[in-house]
Amino acid sequence: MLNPEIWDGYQERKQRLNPIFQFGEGMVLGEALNPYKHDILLMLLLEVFYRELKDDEGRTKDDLLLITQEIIEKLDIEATDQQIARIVDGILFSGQSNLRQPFIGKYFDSNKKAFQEQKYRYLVNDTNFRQKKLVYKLSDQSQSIIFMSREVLDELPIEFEQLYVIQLIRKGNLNSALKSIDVLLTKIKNDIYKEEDYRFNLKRDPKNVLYNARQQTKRREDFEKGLTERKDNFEKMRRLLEKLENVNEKNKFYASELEIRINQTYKYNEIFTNKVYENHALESKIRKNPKMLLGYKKRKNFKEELYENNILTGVLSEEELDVVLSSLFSPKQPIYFPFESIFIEQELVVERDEKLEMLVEDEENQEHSPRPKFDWEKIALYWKPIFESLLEDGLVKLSDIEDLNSWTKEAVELWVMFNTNKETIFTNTFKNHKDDCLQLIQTIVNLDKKYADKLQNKLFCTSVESDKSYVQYKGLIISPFVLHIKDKEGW
Amino acid sequence: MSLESIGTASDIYFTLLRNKMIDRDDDKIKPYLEDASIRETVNVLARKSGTQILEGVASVQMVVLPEGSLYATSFTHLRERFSSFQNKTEFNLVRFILMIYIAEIDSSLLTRSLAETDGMSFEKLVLTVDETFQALDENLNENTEKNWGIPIKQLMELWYLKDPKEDGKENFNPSTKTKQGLVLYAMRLLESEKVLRLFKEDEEYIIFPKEELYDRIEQIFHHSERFQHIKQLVKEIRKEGPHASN
Repeated sequence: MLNPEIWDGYQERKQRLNPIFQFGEGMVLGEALNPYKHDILLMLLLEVFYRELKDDEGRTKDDLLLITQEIIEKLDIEATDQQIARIVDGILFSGQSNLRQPFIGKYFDSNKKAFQEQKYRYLVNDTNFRQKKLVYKLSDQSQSIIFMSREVLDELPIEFEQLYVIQLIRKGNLNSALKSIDVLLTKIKNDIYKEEDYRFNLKRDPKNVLYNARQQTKRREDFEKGLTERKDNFEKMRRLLEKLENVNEKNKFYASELEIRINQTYKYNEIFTNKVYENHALESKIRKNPKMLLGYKKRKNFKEELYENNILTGVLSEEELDVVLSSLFSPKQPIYFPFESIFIEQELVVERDEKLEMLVEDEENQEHSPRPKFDWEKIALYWKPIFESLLEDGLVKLSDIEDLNSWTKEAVELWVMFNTNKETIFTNTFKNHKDDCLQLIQTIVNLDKKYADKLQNKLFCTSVESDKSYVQYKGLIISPFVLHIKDKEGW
Repeated sequence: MSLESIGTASDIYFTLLRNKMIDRDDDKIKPYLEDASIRETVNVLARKSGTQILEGVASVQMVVLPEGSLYATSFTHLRERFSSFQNKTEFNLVRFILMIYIAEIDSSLLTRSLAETDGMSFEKLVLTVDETFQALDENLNENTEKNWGIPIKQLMELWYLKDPKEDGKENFNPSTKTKQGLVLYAMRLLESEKVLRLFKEDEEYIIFPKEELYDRIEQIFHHSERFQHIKQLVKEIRKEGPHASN
C-alpha cells in the first residue's frame, strides 16, 4: 500500500522536475561533446539570464550561436559549426528545428488517474522586442532551473528578499548581496510580466476576470501593503551603502556595482508600480462602461463552422471563398485625380514606373555583384607591423611610414577606409566581415592568434595631423591620418 | 447634429481609410468611443461606402464588407493579377493557404494559442497544407469530387509538383514557383494589412499574428450576425452560380 502522501502536490513536483529531467536530452552531439553538453547549455542559459537582467538585447538566435561558440572556446573543446547550431536548436526547440515544436513532458495526474502532457520551452520570445526582432528570454521553467541550482526559494516574497540584501550589506558581504539583488530584480521583472498578462486577460475577457472580485481585492491589498515597505527598503539599502566604513579595494568595486544594480532594480520597481496603477485604471474604466463587459463571448467558430464543414468538404466555389476571405481586408485608399488630368497622370506614372524599375534593377545588380576579392593575407603583411606599434604606442601616423611607396594600392586605401568608418569596433567572430577594416583585423587575428585577445572589443578611430599638409603615395595625395586604438568601455 | 461633429466623424473615417486601423489608446479615436452620435455617423459613412468598423481589443479597424465595396483591397488587386486562366489554380492555392492558416490559428480569444506566442514557421505551414491535402485526397472519389466548387484535383496536383523551396537560394521573393513562395505570397497579403509580422531566423520566415488579426477573426467569423450574413451571401452565390446545377 502506497502512502497517500506521495500524491500531495505530485503533479506540480513532476511538472517542475520535467524540464530538468529532459534538459539536453535527445541532443546527439557525438561522443566527444556529449559529456559536456549540460555544462554548455547551463552556461548558455546563465548568459541569456544575465543579459536579460542587464537589459542587453543581444539575445537573438545569432547571438545564441556566438555565445555557444565563446563557451566552447572557454571550455577548450572542439566543436564544428553544425554541432554548435545543433546545441542552440536543441535548447530552443524539440525535434526538427524548423517546425519550432515545444518540449513535451509527461506527468501522472492522480485525480484523473492518467498521464497528462505538459508543454514548455527553455527559451521564449521576449515580447518587449516583438516590434523589431526576435529576442529570446528564459521561460519560467528555465528560470526555476537557475534559481534551484542556487537554492534560493522562489516563493520568498520581494520584501523578504530585500531584507536579505540589507542584511548582507550590513554584514559587509557585498559579493553575496550583489547576487541576491539579481534574484530580486528577476522577481520584479517577473511581476511586471504577470501584470502585463493580467492586462491582456482583462482586455480580452473582462467579465471573467472582474468576477473574481475577492481575488481582486486581495491582490490590491497585498500590493498596497508592500508598496511603501518596498520603497523604504530601497532607501535603506542606499543609506547603508553610503555609510559603509573601512572598505577595501575589492569591496569598493562591489559597492559601486551594487549601487548601479540597486538603482536599476528601483527603476523596475517604479515601472511595476505604474503598471499596477494602469491596470487599476483599466479595471475601473471597464466597470464604468458596462458595454465593454459584454465584450468578447465566443459564439461562432471559423474553424468548425466554415472551414471544416464547408471548405474541407469542398462545397465552396472561388466566389464563395472570396466572400469569406475578402472580408478580412481593409480598403485601399483610392488615389484621387482631377478628372482631366487622369490621362496625363497615367502616362507619367507609367514612365516613372519604368525608370524606377530600372533604378531598382541597378541597385539590385550592385548589391549582388560580388565584392572585389582582395588578397587579404597579402594586405595583412603590410599592416601587421602597423598593428604591432599601434598596440605599443596607442597610435600610428601615416606620415611615419617610410616604405609607403612599396605598399599596394588596396593596402593604402584601408587608411582612408578607417577614416570613413569613423569608429570601428572589432569583435572576433571567426567569420568574414562585410566591412573591409574589420576584415583586415580579422585576417590579422586569424594569422596570429595572440592578437585575438589584444584586439577584442577595441575601438579604432582616426584623426588628422594638423602640422603636416599631406602624404604622397605614387602621385596621390592623402591626408596625414593618425590611427588610434582605444578601449571600447573607455570611450 | 452640428457641423463640428460631422467634421470630427469624417476625420476619423478618413484616418481609418488611410491607416486601416487606429490604436484604442490613440486620442484620435476618443470621440468615436465616447460620443454615440459620432460613432453612428462614422458607421453610416462606412456602411455607405461598403465598409464596416470593427471595435477590437487592440484597435478600431476598418474592413470592407464581404459583398464588395467602393474600394479595392490588396486582395482584390492580387485577384486581378492572377485573373488569366492558367494562373487561376495558383491563386486558388493562395486562397487555400490563407484559409488553412486562419483555421490553424483560430482559437478562442481568451486563450493564447501557441501560434500566437511562439509563432509558426513557413515549414510548418507548408507541412499543414501537405497534411490537409493528403487527408482530402483520401476521401476524394468520383462522387465527392463533383461536389467541389473548385477543381480540387488540379489544385492538389499543382501543389504536389512544387518543391518546398528553391535549392541554394536564401532570399526568396513571393513567387508561384515553390511552396514557400506561395506561402510568402499569402502571408505578405496579411502583412501589408498590418495584421501579422514576419521575422527571419536562419533564412526561414516565422509568422507571428498580431492582436489585430485575432480581432478581425473574432469580430467577423465569431460574431453571429456578421457570420450569418456571410453564410447568407454564400448561399445566394450558390443559387446563381455556375455550378448550381451540381
